[in-house]
Amino acid sequence: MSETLRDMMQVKGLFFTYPNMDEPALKNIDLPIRERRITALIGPSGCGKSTLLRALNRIHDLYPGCRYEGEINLMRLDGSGYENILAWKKENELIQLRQRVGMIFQKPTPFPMSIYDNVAYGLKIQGIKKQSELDDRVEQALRDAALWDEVKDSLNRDARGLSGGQQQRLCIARSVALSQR
Amino acid sequence: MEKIFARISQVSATTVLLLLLATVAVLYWSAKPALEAFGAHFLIDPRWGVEVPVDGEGNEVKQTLNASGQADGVRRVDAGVDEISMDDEEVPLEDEMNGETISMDEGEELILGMDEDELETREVYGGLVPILGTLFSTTLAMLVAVPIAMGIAVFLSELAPQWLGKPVGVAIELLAAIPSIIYGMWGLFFFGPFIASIFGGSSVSLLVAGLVLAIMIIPFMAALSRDAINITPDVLKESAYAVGATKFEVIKDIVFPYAKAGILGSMIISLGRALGETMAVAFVIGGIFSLPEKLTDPTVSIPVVLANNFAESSGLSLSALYYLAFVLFLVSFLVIFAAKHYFLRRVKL
Amino acid sequence: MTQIKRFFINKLFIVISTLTALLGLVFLGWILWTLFVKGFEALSLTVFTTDLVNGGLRNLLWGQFVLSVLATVLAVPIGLLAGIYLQEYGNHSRYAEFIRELSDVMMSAPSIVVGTFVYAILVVPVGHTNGWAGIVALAILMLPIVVRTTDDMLSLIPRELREAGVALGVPKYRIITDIIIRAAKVGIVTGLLLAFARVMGETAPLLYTSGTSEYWTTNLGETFPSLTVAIYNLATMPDEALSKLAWAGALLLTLFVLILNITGRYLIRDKR
Repeated sequence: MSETLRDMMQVKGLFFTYPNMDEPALKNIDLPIRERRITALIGPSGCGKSTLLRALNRIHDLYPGCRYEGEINLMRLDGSGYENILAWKKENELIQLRQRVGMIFQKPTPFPMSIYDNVAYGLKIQGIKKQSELDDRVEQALRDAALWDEVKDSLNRDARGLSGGQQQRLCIARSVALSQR
Repeated sequence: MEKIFARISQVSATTVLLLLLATVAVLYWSAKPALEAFGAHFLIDPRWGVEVPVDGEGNEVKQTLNASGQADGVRRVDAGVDEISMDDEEVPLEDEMNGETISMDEGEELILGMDEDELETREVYGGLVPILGTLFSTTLAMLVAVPIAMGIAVFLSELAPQWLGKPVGVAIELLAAIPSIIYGMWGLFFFGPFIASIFGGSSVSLLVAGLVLAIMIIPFMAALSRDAINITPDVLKESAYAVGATKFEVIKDIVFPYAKAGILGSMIISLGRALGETMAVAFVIGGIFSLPEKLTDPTVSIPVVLANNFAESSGLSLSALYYLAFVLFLVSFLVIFAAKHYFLRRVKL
Repeated sequence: MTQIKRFFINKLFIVISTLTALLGLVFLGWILWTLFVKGFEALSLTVFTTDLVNGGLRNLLWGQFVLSVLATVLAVPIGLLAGIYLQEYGNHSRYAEFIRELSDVMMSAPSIVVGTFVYAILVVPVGHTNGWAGIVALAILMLPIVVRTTDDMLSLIPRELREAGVALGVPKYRIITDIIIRAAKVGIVTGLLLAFARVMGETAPLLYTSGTSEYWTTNLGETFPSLTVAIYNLATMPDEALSKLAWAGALLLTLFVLILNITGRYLIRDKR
């Protein structure tokens, strides 16, 4: 079964060092991430799970001084082979990377805006302006995150008024909205 | 002992209330003669210390106002040099307003009684020039200071690398602590001539006053706004980056909305400072009772009138100064109250 | 296409923001530069050893210091106790909230208006400017700052500390004076330093309360020398020597205020 699935991402020989540190936090990581599968990382706290995740969309690069070695390969949008995301240097390339590799944090992080705008935010900054398309994709994302039924009547409320669990599902919807194509 | 301590501390707290009440009472009481003589018309009357002929009822004689308004409607107070700066079109308008409001005033008899030996004329004081001067200089200062202070705040908290952001931030905070008289001196000797060489006009003017005021409140506003911006959690910003937002979008859509209450609060508190600032303005506004026609004209603001004229005033002119002080006090009270109210409402949300 | 536009706007924003920051810093740097150049040029030993009447600043420095210190002596006990009341006794009562609100508003009252108030109650009855009036004016400005500082610092003390005191059977006023004030000491002292620095640089409330004098005096019932008021008067004098003296005074004032501020910062850092 799995032999028909390609790798969406491949981490190869990854070393990662935080700013002003001598020892790398990640040493020689190899990890394939398969298409249409859930990959779970488990381990004791402080072993580098988050550090690895934050390398996959290069959120680390918001803080100057981080060093990477090795490769992280991401499948091209048209599926024809891979590109090494660690070779990217320009800020613009990183922004485009983050539009393709989403991320949800341990704690819910609703933006200071309405529920609808939270989900639509990533789409809007990508330049989607058509209201009907936005509506459809927001609804689909909220359905996918199992939040639609709870919030469909209050889409214009401030997202910070939701409960913790709802907030986290909202953040999932926000990321999922970007990946629907 | 326990009781005594609690009582003393309560009395101390009440001192604050008493001081505030006493301030309001003393200002009102000192301003009362002017309040009764000029009423609310004071606020829109541009004349200061003008002798105006009155008829038997104590009303101003309308026909002669034209002449007197042109002759010494505007007086340079510090030097005593007369200046004519009122437009011809403005005078008839003045005429109408004076005729209406002054004659309705109830307090006329009182003034009349005091000036019995010179029934023919009375002194008229109006606060329009300093009130407008305060409004204009403060507005100008805010227009200049807000974008620059926001630029500094964003630069310090989001753009600058740590090795640069930290020392510059400390420098900004220290600058906010520098006495305002220093800003005034610098404005008089260096900045005023610099501005005059670019925009023309005098080296003391409304423009220079507004800009010096702006430069004075910039560090204050920037430091407070930076603190407000800094409370935005990193993880919130990261999740915005994680959906592909640019730095600009993160600041515009996440940081500013999140820190809105704090940023607006810093602006309003800075506004309050600018409204009541004396020394930074006193050097550079000119201290002349004339309505500015251009930005580069000298004029005067409420605190500067108080600073320049207080010691030499007595009787009705002193009372008119207290009227101005009272107005300034009420306005800044309202501004701060609005700021606090806004803060509280937002914090509870 | 829209992506390119977004990236362009982002870059533009960063450039503009950095430039405005730079612009602001240039002007602020310019102020400091002139202050230091002009000030050090005018500074000499005679500035410290002679009074204004002989071309020095000695009596003015003394006067400003005395006014500020005595204002502090007047404002601190009242402000400290008021802050204690707000936090420890009246904590959430409506009266305490009301006083807290008023104190904050008073902190932002225009300083010149405070001057007019004191003029009416302490200068008019005496008939001439005097040192006491200046002290009271500065103290009124300082009081709300002290109240606010004390209130804030005491609110940072954990509830457990108070409860531990109560559990030992210590009377409340002893808990406050022995435990809570001691725990909040560094913060309060820092706040007082900053408040002192603030009134030290005030000019407007002194203009017609203390006035200023050319002579050395220790009599607070008379017109009292004030550095800031003198700077205001000297700076606009046509005499070159006098305006130089004003710069020297401005520099000394600024240095003193900055030193107080830096000390305050250092104290707070020490605690963390």
